[in-house]
Amino acid sequence: MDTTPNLILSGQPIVEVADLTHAYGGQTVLHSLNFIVPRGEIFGFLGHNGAGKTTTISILTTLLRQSAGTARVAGFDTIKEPNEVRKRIGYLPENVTFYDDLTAYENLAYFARLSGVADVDERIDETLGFLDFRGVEHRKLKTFSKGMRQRIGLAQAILHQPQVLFLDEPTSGLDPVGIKNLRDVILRLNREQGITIFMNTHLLSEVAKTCTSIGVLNRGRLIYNESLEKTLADFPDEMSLETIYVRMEEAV
Amino acid sequence: MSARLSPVSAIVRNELRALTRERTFTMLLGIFLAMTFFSVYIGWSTRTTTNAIYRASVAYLGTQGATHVPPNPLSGVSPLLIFDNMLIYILLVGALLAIVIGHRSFIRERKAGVLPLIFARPVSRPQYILAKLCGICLALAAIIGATYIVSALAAVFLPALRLTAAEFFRLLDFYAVSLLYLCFFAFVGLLFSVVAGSESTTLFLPILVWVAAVFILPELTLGSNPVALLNPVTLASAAPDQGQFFTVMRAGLGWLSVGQFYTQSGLNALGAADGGAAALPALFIYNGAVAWAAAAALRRHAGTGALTL
Repeated sequence: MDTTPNLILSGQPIVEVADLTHAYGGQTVLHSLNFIVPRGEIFGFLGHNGAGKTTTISILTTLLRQSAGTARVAGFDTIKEPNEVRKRIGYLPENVTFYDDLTAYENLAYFARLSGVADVDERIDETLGFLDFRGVEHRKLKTFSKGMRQRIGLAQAILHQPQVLFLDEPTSGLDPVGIKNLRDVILRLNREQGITIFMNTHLLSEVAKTCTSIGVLNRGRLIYNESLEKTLADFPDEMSLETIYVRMEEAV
Repeated sequence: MSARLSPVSAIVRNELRALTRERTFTMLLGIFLAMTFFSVYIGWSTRTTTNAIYRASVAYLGTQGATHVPPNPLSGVSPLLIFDNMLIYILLVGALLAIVIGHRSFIRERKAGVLPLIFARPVSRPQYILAKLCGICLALAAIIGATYIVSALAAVFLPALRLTAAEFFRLLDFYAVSLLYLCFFAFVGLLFSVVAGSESTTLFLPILVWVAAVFILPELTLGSNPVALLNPVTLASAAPDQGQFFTVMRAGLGWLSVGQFYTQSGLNALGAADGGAAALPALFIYNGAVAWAAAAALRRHAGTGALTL
């Protein structure tokens, strides 16, 4: 496992996408995407449903092979060096699912072993402690609420101390308390552990409270990619990120 | 404390745990042990009844002053043939149960939706399939191992049946061949659970392969009806001249008849037929081919759609 401290390399690109194109069923869903996410950022990837956000995250997590172009994560090509990429990423899908008949501990231990974690028990304890979620280890996943599943989902994604964490619509289906808890965890992961966050979302309020930079995807095309600070400066007359987003979409 | 495991070992362990939690393993073990019990009892009962009739006939012939007494028809028959029903049970029921094990192995994870979490980790798809195959083999080996022990104990304790050490080894050989045959169908179950789109298709296609391998192909290539093919003693006898059609079919399709390969190898192990040794490599080759196909199929699934149901 790469133990390079995340904070030391802050600012260097951790996600690099060049001319990334993907097509299936005769339809192009990603059109030559180009962007970079620097290490240490919380990157919000915005777009309507069907814009291509999940396809992009699937390519970056090596679950999907793009039709053309390149994607590099933590310096490794997603097609040529997928295992090197996988060692350095954490992934939380939109609808996270587990082995419901197994306990939280058994699920986490399994995924930790798949990631090559050496001291599984210690890492599970540390991770659940970080998430303030100790005490549920021996409950079966089928008894968990959506919010609890999301936390276990987050635990499995950070158990092996990844450099970059991919979150696909992480707040989907959560209640306001769950959303706030998740936001706090994301911010702490970024600040305390230096983990870069790449987050697919369409919740603009969350982007405004969490992200340091944004990319906007419209029908498979990246129409905007800037820091949140510059975005707010670029649109000084707008009252909220929501109205800025609507203006971007209308301009396309 | 949990020791560090390789990803393959972790998947194998998870596979075995899932099988036991679903009670599939216990159910299959129970079925196999019941099949062993019935098979051995029927075989032993047939043998002792035949011997009793022979002895009664000899006594009767003696009272009639017969000078020539024909030999016992079972005197030249391998005592291991009391297990011949096991061959039929494994050929039919065992193969279907093996398909269920292989099918559940991948479908369980597709339905649970955990495959994206697995493949976003440093586990290659061929590694994953290898681990699944190992898990399936171990589960089947445990079932077959228990079946062998019960069979061997039955052979030790049943009256009027004495097996030599060599015959115990032949019995072990028979179960090893059976394991190979069961693995083939489990691998077929796994293969189709990877390539097919819907859950019903993933189960229907391997059953189609089973029907073809066990019934249709032997019938086409040997000209024997399926019921006759289930009788190993009939199979062991020389096949009559069946004409040009069957000769051509045998040459063209005989190599696909996995059920026939198993029957030959199994009968050979039980000492009821010769020539099964040539069928054994075929079973190995088929297992390897299906395992490779499953790994290649999963690798070819570039999309994430195939990872869920």
